Amino acid sequence: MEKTIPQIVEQFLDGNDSAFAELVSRYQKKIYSVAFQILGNHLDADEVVQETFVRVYKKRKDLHNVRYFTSFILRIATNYSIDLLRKRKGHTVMTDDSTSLPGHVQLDLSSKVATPSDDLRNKRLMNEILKALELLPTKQRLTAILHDIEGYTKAEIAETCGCPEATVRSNLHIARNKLKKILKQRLYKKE
Amino acid sequence: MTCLQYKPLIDDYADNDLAPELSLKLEEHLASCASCTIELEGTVRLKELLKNRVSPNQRNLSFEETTNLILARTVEKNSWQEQARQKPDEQVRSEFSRAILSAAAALIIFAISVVIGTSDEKFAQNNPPESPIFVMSPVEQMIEPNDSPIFTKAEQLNHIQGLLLISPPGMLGRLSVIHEYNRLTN
Ligand SMILES: [Zn+2]
Repeated sequence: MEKTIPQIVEQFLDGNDSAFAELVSRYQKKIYSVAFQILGNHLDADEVVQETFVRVYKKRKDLHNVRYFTSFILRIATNYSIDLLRKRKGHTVMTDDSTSLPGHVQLDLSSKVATPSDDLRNKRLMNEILKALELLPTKQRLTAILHDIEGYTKAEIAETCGCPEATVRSNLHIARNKLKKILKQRLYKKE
Repeated sequence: MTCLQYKPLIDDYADNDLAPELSLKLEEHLASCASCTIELEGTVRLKELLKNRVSPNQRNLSFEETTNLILARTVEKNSWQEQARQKPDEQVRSEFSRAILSAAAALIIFAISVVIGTSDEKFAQNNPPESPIFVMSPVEQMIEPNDSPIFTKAEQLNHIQGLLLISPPGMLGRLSVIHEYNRLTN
């Protein structure tokens, strides 16, 4: 039977290095994805992944309950991503269109088979969403990324941010309203 | 309930996070409220768009490369550091034990020398100067003969004659040998 995350975390906290390797294997893609959504490029996402696991290894004593490992690692990853984002913001364009834009994004809305024009429209739509996301304040943006893109629960996000679930709900609500507004304006203007 | 009270429930309803009884109430309201329905549709559509912002497949580093880099900076580095940390300790320990060993060796040598020294003294006490070990060598006896010579006069004379034969003329020792010869022959 495959070991559960709390079981692996327990072993990791007991100093078992192969349990740490197992956690790297299980969480690497998730952390990479979150970092990529926040930073928008592969180079920084790679850095976040490595730094996050190094910090998890060093700070494992801070994890008091194995059940909160996901929030623990997410908090480290998002904090580092935001630090990196602030550092980068003055220097480079955050989104690298050639890599982050949706050559590999598939929008499957109402129609089952996307026609070329649908595909083009979806790409444009996605572009607008990314730009709209970037306009949000950090907490709202982070909440939208973690909940609506990465699929974490409100409870997990609350644990990650160290805030009540009500705050997560309100951040998410504000973020969605702003995104809807921005999208509506842009799409109507262009259509 | 009014629209203002229903609006905050729309997000949770779209997320499937709303309690069943509240969901039923909202559904009843949605059936008759266009504004709330538009709000819900917008949220659902936005959620779909965001959900489809899938994670990138292309990465600079492969999964294995990243894993190796992480392990090199954590697990392997840690064991390497431990080795590095232990090495000086071992060196200190071995230096310390070496110092202890040499001190112990010095102590043993000292103890042995003390034992030998005292045994020498005891030996000297037990063996008075008359015993042969403290007796002068035959040549010394020849030069400074004591009262009880080991060799007879004839033996001594033979010895000196032999010495006179092998010692070349002009040598300082030859004079004392000649002197001794004269003393023995007179
Ligand atoms: Zn309403």
